[in-house]
Amino acid sequence: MMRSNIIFFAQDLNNKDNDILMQNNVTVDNMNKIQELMELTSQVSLKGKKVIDDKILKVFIYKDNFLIIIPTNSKDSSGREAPILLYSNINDDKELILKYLDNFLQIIDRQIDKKALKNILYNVKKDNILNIKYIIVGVLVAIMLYLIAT
Amino acid sequence: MLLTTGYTMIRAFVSGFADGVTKAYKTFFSNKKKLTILGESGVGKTTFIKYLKGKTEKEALETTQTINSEKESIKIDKVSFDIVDMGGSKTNYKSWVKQVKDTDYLLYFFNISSIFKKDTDYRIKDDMKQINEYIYNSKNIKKVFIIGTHCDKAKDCDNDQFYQKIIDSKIYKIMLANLGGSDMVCTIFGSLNSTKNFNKISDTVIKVINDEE
Repeated sequence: MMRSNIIFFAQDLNNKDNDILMQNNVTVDNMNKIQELMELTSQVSLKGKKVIDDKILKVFIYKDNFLIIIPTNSKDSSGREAPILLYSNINDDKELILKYLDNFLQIIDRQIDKKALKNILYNVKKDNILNIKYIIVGVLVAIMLYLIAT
Repeated sequence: MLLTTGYTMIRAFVSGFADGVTKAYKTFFSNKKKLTILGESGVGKTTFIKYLKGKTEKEALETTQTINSEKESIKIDKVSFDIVDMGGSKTNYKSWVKQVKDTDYLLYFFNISSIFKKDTDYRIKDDMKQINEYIYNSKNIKKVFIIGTHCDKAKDCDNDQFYQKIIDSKIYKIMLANLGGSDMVCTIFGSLNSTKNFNKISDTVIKVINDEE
């Protein structure tokens, strides 16, 4: 069975260096590891498809992974909305994600609209851009085979 | 089991091949330029992009912490850009490096009103350490912009001597040296508190880019 990779991240409200990242319900302290995991999450927002863009709430999907920027009730020291980030795999157990979320929210002491998030989690679907890619590659391979054959 | 493994391998191969085709297309057929915006949290990176996208002053100034990276496609004059807005936290440093490696233009933002504070000084030095090597080794970067924002919040911002003091400061010289030197760097000071002030910054950026293209 595939191992879960459920990541939650919150930036420090003072925008200093007290950001919090949890991977599979465990707080990660090593900065190098945090940077690696954040790079992993950036791949989804940079290469993936933005399926929801509602001011603060954003959902990105790339291959089997998704990234949700979740609004919270908090603002940072500059008065900006301070969302949190969730990265996970589409096949990860949704109830497990919600359980880890509860622990994360307790640690960072922020609140979110859990009902809305639960709705998104249960409706998030695999990015079909990959399927289009399969079609393009299939056509290219067919052309190549045709050219070789003739 | 064998079938599943075989399917996974074929899927991975096709996926990798598809990514390669996409990358090759972008390299040879797309004339989009990549512009990456870096700088610590709250310096105005996202506000700048919102203005570029044509948002109103009110919309542009209503910002959210950008906690990871996002890409926007924007056409300015005749040039199409993929603009990458990077999260300002140090936790994004690995993503910064990855973007710097293949960007055409780099915009480094800092808050001019806090440039002489220790925290800002340390942070800028840390940022420079991360990206310096990749700027000097980059074959793509055509121009780097140092953009000092929040002039409206700085004391003596109407005084030319204030800007000269910044130009003469050690921290500015560190930025200049680390970001490619005076031939590579274009420096702009201004504010993003109004569309008018944004235009002053963006007009210079666009003019320099148009000259390069």
